[in-house]
Amino acid sequence: MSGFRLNRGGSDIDRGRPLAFRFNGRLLHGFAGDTLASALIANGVSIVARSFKYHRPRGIVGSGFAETNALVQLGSGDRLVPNMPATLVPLAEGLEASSPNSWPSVDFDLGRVNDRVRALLSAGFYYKSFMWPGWHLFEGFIRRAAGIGRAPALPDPDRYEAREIRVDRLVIGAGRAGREAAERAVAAGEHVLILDAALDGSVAHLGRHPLDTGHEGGCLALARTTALGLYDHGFVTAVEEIEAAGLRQRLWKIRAQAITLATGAFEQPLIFANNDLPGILLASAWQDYLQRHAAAPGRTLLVATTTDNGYAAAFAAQDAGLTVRAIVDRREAATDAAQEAERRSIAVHRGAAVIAAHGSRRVRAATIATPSGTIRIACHSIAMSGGWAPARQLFNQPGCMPERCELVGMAAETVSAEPLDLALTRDPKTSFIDFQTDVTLADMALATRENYRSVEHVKRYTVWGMGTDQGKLSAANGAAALAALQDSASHRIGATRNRPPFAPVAIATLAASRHNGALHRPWRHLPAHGWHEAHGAVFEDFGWLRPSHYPLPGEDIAAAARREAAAVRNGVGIMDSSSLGKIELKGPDAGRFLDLLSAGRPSTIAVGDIRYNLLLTELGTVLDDGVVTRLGPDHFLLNTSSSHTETVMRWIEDWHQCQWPFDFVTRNVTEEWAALTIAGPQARALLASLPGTIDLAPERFPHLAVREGVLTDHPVRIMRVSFTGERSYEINVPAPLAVEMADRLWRAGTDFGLVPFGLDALEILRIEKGYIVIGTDTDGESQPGDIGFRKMGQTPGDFLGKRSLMRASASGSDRQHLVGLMPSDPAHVPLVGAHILQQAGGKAQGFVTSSCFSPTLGRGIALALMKGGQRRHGEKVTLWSEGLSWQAEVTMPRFVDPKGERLHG
Amino acid sequence: MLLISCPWCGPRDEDEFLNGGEAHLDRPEPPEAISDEDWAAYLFFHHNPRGMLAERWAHSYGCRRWFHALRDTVTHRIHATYKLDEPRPELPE
Repeated sequence: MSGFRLNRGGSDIDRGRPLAFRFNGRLLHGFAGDTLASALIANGVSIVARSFKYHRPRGIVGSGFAETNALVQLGSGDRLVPNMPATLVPLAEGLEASSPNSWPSVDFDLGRVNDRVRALLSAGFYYKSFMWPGWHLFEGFIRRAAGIGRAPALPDPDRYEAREIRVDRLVIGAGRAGREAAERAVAAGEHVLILDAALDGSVAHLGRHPLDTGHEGGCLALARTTALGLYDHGFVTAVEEIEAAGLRQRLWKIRAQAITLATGAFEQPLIFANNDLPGILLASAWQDYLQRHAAAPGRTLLVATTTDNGYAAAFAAQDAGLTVRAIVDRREAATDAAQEAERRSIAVHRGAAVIAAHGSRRVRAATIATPSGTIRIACHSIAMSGGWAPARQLFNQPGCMPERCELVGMAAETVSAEPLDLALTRDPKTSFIDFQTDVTLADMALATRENYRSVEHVKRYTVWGMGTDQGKLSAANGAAALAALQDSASHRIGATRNRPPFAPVAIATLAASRHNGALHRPWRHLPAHGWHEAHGAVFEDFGWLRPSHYPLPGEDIAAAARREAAAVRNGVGIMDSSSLGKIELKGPDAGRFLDLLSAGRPSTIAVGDIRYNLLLTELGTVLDDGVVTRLGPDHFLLNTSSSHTETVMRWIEDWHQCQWPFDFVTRNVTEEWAALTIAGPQARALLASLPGTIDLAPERFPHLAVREGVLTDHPVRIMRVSFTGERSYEINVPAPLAVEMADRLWRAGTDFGLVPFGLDALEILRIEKGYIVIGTDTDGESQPGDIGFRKMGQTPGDFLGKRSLMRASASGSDRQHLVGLMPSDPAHVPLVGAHILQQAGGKAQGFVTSSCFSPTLGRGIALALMKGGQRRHGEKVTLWSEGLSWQAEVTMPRFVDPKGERLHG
Repeated sequence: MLLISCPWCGPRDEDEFLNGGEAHLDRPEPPEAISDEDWAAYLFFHHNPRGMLAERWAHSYGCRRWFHALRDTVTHRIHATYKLDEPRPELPE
């Protein structure tokens, strides 16, 4: 006989307000004031879930936070909520809930076969099975079995918000101990926040002193609020359930000077064979459902207890007119409770224990061991009380005693469980320690046999204490089992760290303080963004939103990029380089500082000149490259890669503040300047057609020089630098003039066939020239010599990384060098990431870092990092990727104009 | 989340800061005078105590200044923060 509703009683329910809901599709009825759990019990639903590994039928075992089995899916579509304990879900009209982890249904679950092949699934299953070469045989099974709930696939339509608060004292739990602590603190003049998950107004009266009333103590009380995590330095997160339209939950981020944990205690299950059968509940939960919801988990009751609390459940059941078959008490001594039971004519077996429960889909009977032998007692339900374990999940999260944190009430007490008597265990394989993760006494014994001793190791080996339970109903029994198995005492075994969140929480709530959608990561727009749009640019995310290409009608990205690249090689193109990092250093010691920071001695650059520069780490590896421009005797401009600007700025600040506090100032001016690059054989002619004050004659304004002046009556700084291999003028103007300058260049360009080019064309042009991108064509081990700048690494004097470059390993012949690759099939464009093999099946010699189809050469080309590559030009190699291979020849990393003659003139 | 007291800005949440590893390391120079062993010690052999550690922090999303902190690596308690030019404070035992 399963659960049912009593005709009268139930302090929390309103029989005048019936509610209809669905569980696994079945239409059921409950009352306002029910939880989903109490309503399911009242409707006689025994099996609410299937267990994680063995798919055993499971029923409701606890109430409130103490529920480890009945994790249900709520709602559907975009309001699907997984992993909610049924005990925490208030019943509502139209509520839809279902059981996860079962197929085809919770009543008939094919996964139950796992219960018969359990040898496969014992402790350490993952570690023993997930090994090369056969691990993939188990992968599909594990992926299906892993996890309990199903995540919603649609965006969450509800709104969430986050608030931050700082208080003198945070009190978690508004039971008697918590309320008293809060009142004491307010009286002492503290600003107090007290929170409790309870639905009722038990904390409301504490909020009568508002917090913002000056210096006197005050208290903010939050009901329906659950603390999720306790972190360092008094930081606590909590979630408040809100029912206001449009707002579902509020995340509180609390910083407290002191914390009082009044979190109470969890009643613990008892360990016996089949202790997980539906119909076996904690005694406290039995009482809760009976007294608060008039829901009886069964018509007849057997109590298994080690405390007086089991008696309380028995008396409550008897008072409600139910039959108590017996009370089985581990304690031998006579107690007042036992006398009361005898007065009520309830059979009490002292010094006895339930050793097995019987039944298949729910409990039907139990075998008990008494001092005078074993007996079998039929029953519809068992209420168990294995003592109380303080609810220290929050306290145990930081892994060490939190500062200024106190425990009060039951949370401060020690575990009151009886030691486990292994002699009494009938079947360790069905004696569950952790219901949620299906960890049994047999798993604990196996872990012990395999010499796992520390609780943290046992936890990982068996998965005991993981999941949402986090030891609420399993820590004490696990410790007791390990104590018995290791022949030690529970308190010596200790407890594992617990993980946040204390209770399941919506991901959206945790994300509430962050922007979603377009503002999640706002785009960085170029100053001339609108100009590019007007000229047909297609944009891509390069950290900045930058034009990738400017397609003509009918062109795809590859065709557009080839056309744009060819235009730059043969005529003239314009591109936006504004995102390049620009850091100015100014002051008498700026040069001296740059010398220490760079390979290449920037202090020897003449005013008006530009030099290629490498920044190295102390390991001698390349951090970034770029050019240094000397604008004046004490004034330098350092260009960085677009995506490394912040890294380099921090790098400069770090060494300037902490190591070389020299006399200069530094400033990141990246966003203050726009840079428009005119590149190609016609570049100088185009610029010369515009009125201006700068002499463009190549002998007075050569490659790698900078000039300041006026162009079309705007102030400009023009730098002759090139990332295309063509003669190139980078025209820097104050950012607000970007569109105006682009327009003037564009108008002047009509006569020269000026073409706008994007990053895909730039990629072709720079690969043809072997110009590298740091982080693409280098990795974390690349040093200057590996990428063709050995001399720079040997610059005299000290600089970052210099000492590392003096080590023998820096010139070792096995280092990965930058090389070029020419595929034997000219139409083939090598795949980035493809492995380089000396012969088929051999070990990888390196990998392709960049590749393109070169319109200049009419063939595929690539850059690569390759072991000893600088000595291997001319070698034939195999490129391999995902089962396919191609032939290629190793070359120097320069395919077009190897002498760099096109840059000049 | 740690609460770190920047010597210039006061107590701020950890996510405004960057950690820079152990403090008070001396960069050996000039390079020609440093043995491989000494250079390796500077690069790799840092203290990693179970207990008090002097470390570098930067208030990256604030004043962008570097400073030092004495942090207990077991409890995460920060016993002091101090400016770069200040000596490591003596702590009562």
